[in-house]
Amino acid sequence: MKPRIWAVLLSCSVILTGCWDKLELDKRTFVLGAAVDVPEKDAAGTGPEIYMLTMESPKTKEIGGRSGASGGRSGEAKAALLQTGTGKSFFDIIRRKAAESDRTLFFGHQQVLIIGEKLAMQRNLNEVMDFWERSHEVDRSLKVFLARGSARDIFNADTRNSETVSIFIMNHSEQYGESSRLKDMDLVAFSGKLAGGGNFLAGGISLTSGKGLNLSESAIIKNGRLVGWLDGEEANAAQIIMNEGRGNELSIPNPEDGGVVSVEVAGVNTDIDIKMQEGMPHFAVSVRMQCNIAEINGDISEIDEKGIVAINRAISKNVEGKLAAVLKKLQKQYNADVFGFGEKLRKYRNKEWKKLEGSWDGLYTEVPISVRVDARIRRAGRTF
Amino acid sequence: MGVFNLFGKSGKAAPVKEKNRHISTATEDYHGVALDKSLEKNIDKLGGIFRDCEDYVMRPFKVGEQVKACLIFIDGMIKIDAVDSFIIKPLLLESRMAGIQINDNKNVLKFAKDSIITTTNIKESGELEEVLFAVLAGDIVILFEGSELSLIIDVKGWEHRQVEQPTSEAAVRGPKDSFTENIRINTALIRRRIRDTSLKAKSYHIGRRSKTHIVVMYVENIVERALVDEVYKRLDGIDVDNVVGSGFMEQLLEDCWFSPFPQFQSTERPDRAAAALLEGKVCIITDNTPYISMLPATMNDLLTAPDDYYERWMISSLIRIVRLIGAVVATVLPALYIAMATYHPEMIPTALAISIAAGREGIPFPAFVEAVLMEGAFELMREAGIRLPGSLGQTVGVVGAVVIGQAAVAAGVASPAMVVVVSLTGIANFAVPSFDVALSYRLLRFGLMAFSAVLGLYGLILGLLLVLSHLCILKSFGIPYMAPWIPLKPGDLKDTIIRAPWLSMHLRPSFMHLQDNKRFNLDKTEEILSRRKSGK
Repeated sequence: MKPRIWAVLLSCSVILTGCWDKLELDKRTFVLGAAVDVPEKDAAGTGPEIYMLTMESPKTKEIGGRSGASGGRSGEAKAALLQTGTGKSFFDIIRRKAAESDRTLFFGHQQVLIIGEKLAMQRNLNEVMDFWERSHEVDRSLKVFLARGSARDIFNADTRNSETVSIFIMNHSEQYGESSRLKDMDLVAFSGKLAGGGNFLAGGISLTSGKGLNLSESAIIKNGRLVGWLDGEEANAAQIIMNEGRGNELSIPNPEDGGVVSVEVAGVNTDIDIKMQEGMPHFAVSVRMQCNIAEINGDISEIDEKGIVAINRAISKNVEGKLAAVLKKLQKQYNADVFGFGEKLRKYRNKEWKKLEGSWDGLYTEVPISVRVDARIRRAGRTF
Repeated sequence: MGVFNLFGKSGKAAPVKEKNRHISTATEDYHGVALDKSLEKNIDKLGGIFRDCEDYVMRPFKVGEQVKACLIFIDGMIKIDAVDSFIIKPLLLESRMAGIQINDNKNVLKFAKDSIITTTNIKESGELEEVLFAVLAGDIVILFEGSELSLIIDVKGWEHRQVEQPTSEAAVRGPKDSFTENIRINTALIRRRIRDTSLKAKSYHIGRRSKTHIVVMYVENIVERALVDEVYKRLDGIDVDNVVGSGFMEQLLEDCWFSPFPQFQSTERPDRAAAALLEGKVCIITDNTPYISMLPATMNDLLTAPDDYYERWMISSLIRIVRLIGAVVATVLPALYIAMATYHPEMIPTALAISIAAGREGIPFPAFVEAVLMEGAFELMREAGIRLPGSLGQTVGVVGAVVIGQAAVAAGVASPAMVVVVSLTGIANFAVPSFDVALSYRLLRFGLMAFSAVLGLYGLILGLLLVLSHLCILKSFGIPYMAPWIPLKPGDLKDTIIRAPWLSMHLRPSFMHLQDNKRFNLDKTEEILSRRKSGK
């Protein structure tokens, strides 16, 4: 045959055999959120089935349909579809689910991954995260949370305006990211922390009694396992130690008349210093905070310079107390070095660290950590 | 071209010469034939040539009651009043009233030309071919008894359209005159804008039968000489029987016929033509076409609009950027939609992906078929809109787009997102200033859609690369089509994406290799600029 005809046939083989990855939008199920748990039947986690995976996806038919004609979804019915399966691995579960469905599960738009409390306590999170870290579909900005209780129940929350719980959580974490009520982490940050020792604080999520969602708690993770929780206030304090927490709200008793002063944290600058005394590291956490007065209740009088100084001192004392309490809780109760004191030692006092390295796990509970807070009011707000 | 060669048959040379013999040579049959001395014989011969030509008029008369003469012309192509009062009347009556005695047949022609006929444009000729051509072109010819010469008098005048407003290249602030079908008016419109003796206009008559009048215009001491020679060379190489219009001429002259892109810039605005001439371009004006062709053309030229130069530079630049985005959208948007919807849904923002997926729920076709259907419907409406008369055409466009789009969505044939994509593409296409290049984008759009339907974004990029590589090797009369971008001439970028302030554009584009590079007097320009800086 002539080479020209060969050329035509060859180029046909390139063009006509295409479409390997072709999959129309409406033939996919968008998994927006996934919750992983221990299977309910086998609570001990010893049976052949290790994981229970619940996937939330939008019912596209009900959201859009023939636009305008149906006027969006009707009534109170939620436009989300929950699929639950159990299996030996997540991939196993997903493939089994695919066998039951007319559509392909698509993880490219997954927004949240919620890990159940029991699973996080039983298994190392490295194992749990492996599927999501490996998958080429999963977006790196996926937010990871730990649920207080069953992760699956989170998807039953009433999220009012949002179509799905996952979108609610995503929007919420974007909205309140600055207020630092929520310590949310994306897949990259979460996996990075896991790889770097596995001691850290992760965002927590729980159902309130009114079926609402509470995202203010933080989960304490030690060596890749969940060990306990910090409530909202403790989580705030922890953030200040981590040099974050801008936008937090603090309410303290007014030192002058016993009323309440509410301030907004406008800036946080935290330094951790190390001093070695007799082979024992001493940590000094010093925090400089700028605050704006948001509200004063009680006997409202004009605040003079003295008053400001008094409020400064009151805030400093209040925050110092909170930070010390959190540090104590983490040191004595959980023995979890989530703020990376050991890492600091390794970086800045490497010689001493080499001596202490082996015994650091036990030493951490005993290490003295002092806290000093210097809070300053920058703006007292508008007065007439 | 290679694709066409794939199917063989290219090697055989057709017996061209044999075929040529059957082409009528029209007036060239009488090449080299001289007129006869006898008026009778001449009249007989012309009568024979013009037999069965109802519009051929022959008017015998006597000059000063003595010398026989005959006036011939084509009815409807001359100003009959002028012939009556400035030619017939003086020849018939006034020569006699003035008491001039004409006895010598030989002198009568010279006498009539010098002293009797009162029109300006007059010449002598003894060639039959020339006489025939003159008659057909709308001149009148006077034959005299006993003379081998005839008088050809230019009193052309026929019904033609007046200079009107430009229809396809409207400009808010620009002049409102446009070219007409009459070549003489067109050249005059340009000449009025460039009152320079170096504006040259060379005339051609192309087409064996049509003898279409074609004028090549250029400014002699700006233009690159080789460019003009190349134009002459290509014009000389044309041997057709009819020139349909300027678009036809462009296709005969262009560098690469196997390209979706126009290699000429056509315009109906004399101001644009004048500006192009002063940039060292050559204009080809074809009779009977209200569009003139400017060459060489670059992609950059085709994306400019007359308003760019009438508005102030910042506004012009903004509008130009909008127009560029429009060009990109018109070419790429449906392909991008197909690629993203069928291969890369992770690239669409989540909320949008869900709503597109929701809209596609229940659509029986894949996105590509849906896109082709909707684009096809849009093209149909467009074509129908052009064919239908005036206001009805616009109605079809608007009503058709709205009703069919709505109905298609309601019927579940197309998704709302697709309707948005198609309408956006259509609107963006109208924002492309040159109609010719807008057509190219329309064509490429379908190709790119196929590419991305088969290979996704990879295919889209592949297709765009193919187009880009073609653009990079394409030339229009030796000037790279992508100039001044490829090859890059930083100094010429002042009139590309942004239109720089006029004073900074004191040089003409350097990629044109012009003889005279300077637009303005640089010293004066600097003086103005420094005066502005000092605020006086």
